[in-house]
Amino acid sequence: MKTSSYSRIQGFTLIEALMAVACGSMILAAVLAAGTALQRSFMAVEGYSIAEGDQLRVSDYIAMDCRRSTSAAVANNVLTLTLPNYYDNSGNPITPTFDANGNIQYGTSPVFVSYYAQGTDFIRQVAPSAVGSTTTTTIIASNIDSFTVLPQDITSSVTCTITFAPRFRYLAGPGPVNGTTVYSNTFLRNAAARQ
Amino acid sequence: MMTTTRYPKEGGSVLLTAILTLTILSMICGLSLYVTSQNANATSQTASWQVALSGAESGVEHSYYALNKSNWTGWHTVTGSVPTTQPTGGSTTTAAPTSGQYVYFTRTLQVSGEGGGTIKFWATIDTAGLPLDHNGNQWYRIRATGVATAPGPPRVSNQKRDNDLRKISLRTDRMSGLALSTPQAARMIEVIAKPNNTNLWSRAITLSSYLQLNGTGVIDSFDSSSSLYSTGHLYDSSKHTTNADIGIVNSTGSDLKNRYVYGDITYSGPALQRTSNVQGSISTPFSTSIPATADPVWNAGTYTSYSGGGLPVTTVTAGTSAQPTLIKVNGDFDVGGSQVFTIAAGNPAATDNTIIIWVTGSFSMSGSGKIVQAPNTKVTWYVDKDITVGGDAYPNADGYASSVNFVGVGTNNTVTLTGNSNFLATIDAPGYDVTLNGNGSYVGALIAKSLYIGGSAGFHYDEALASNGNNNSIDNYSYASWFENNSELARGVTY
Repeated sequence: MKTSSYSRIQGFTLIEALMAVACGSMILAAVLAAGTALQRSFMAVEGYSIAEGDQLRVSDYIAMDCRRSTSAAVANNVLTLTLPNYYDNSGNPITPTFDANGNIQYGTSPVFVSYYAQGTDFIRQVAPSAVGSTTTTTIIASNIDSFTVLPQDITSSVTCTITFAPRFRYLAGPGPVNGTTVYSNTFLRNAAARQ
Repeated sequence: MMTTTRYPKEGGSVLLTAILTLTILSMICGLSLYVTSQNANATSQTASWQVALSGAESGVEHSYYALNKSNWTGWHTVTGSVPTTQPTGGSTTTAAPTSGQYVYFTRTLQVSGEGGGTIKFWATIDTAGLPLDHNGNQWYRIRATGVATAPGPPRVSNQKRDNDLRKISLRTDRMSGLALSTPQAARMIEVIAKPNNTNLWSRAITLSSYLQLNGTGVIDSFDSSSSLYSTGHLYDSSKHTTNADIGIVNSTGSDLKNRYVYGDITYSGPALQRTSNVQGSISTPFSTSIPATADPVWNAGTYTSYSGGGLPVTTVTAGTSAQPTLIKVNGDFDVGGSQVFTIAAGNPAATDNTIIIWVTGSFSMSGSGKIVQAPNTKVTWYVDKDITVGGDAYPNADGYASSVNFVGVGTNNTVTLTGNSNFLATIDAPGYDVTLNGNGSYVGALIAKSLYIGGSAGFHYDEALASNGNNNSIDNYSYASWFENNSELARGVTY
């Protein structure tokens, strides 16, 4: 019995194989490029998300302390807010009293809260004025590029400008966008603030 | 013999490649969703934290409404100290709390739409043990707490630093310690409410516009009805008091230049500038309705009319408080040169000699002109245009500010006082810009559009004006202090 030959279906010609390898490589390269781009995009979005969280947190911290402060001061681009000494040694709220001028006071010694940039960190410092008390310094945000406090009209409101420089893991430098800037303007609720 | 062909490796390779590809894509997708979910969770918690503040401030506003309007619908009164958690029980509130009591109000709002939840707030009002102020009024402490649900799983934010600030309650309420079915954010505000009197003479100065101090004089007070705070019922700097309160409706342009003010200042608008020597409290807002002034309405035949343009008459005699003498000057009233205008008492032995003089033009005194007003005589001047008093032109022989009352009618007019000795009077001129210059001081009380004080002139408020049969009830309450309590005792966190 005569058997049939499979020589035509057992393989590809060299040209066909080279073409297949070339096409496959191109497709693989495209997939890799797309994947890398997607990952970069994802990391960029993630970077912005973190930066946005930092911006909100910094803005909320400053706004909260400005609202409850009795006065504000700016020196060397450090914002220092004077807060009532609202808590006793156990951390419980104390009862308000009148001072000699008829003002409401909480305790006799105020508490000072400062905000400033240190390197790329943004610092919140709480410094009770009482003797023996400790100063607490907390990093509340990173990737700070600049921090500016406008001293104008500081008796009624505080205006801050903070620029963040988001850094992406797979991109050199600050990324395709240099940074995002957040502006906050907070009214001092205790507008009895005095110079 | 039949020959077969097998390709087992080729088929398996495709399947394996497909599975690996799908696995990698699924992992990437899952990671993306996880990170996105965390971001959404953090954003949701941040939004809830912001909403909680709005809830707390709603509680404060509700408290001010109750105090200002004496509307205690929905409030409950409890005897005891203010609790740290949501209050319950108590009786229906009928009046503001007294010492040892507190009143509270609660409300829950349903938020519709995507991510909707509930916003709950409660507010308490108590006296905080504060004594009555110098006007005999009670200040109140308001504590308001806002709670907003945080939609999403009870998961700590991927923004780790947020936890120190926002202190979201995930499974237990950080205030009460009770279990929670839904995460929530809570914020608490403490406000001190300061009462403001409705009687306009209960304040030294009431202005609808700015206050500018540019001289060397002081603003203080005395009490002509008390020998402890006056000498011969006149101002004595050694007995002065610190109740020269000032109310400013719109403080734009106000600058105190660190001059001494012995009294409280309440204002609305931009913060007052250079207030370091205010020896009293400064609070905001200031809201009051300054009554407009108007010319008197007299029936024909009840008054004597003169033509203006100079000094139309040299002597007038006062009637009684029941039947005052009524004089109308049609035009300007000017006491110039060496002229003297005398206001005599109809009955010198009586204390209620009263006269009302209506000037439809301006009132001015120039040169060495003088007005002599007899003791026990009270004069009310209605002036429709500018008022100018200089030199020692208007000695008030009665010695009380309440004996000379100027009522300025109209707007965009001026009052100019440039005397070298004290001028005792009250001025009710809500549409007038007032300038106080010279060496003499103004003694009395003032209602005006604006006030500028220069030279060495001082302003000495007579507290007796507030109790001359006037109404001393409370008009409204302003903010004397605002503080957000963001502590968490369980973690030892205060500020």
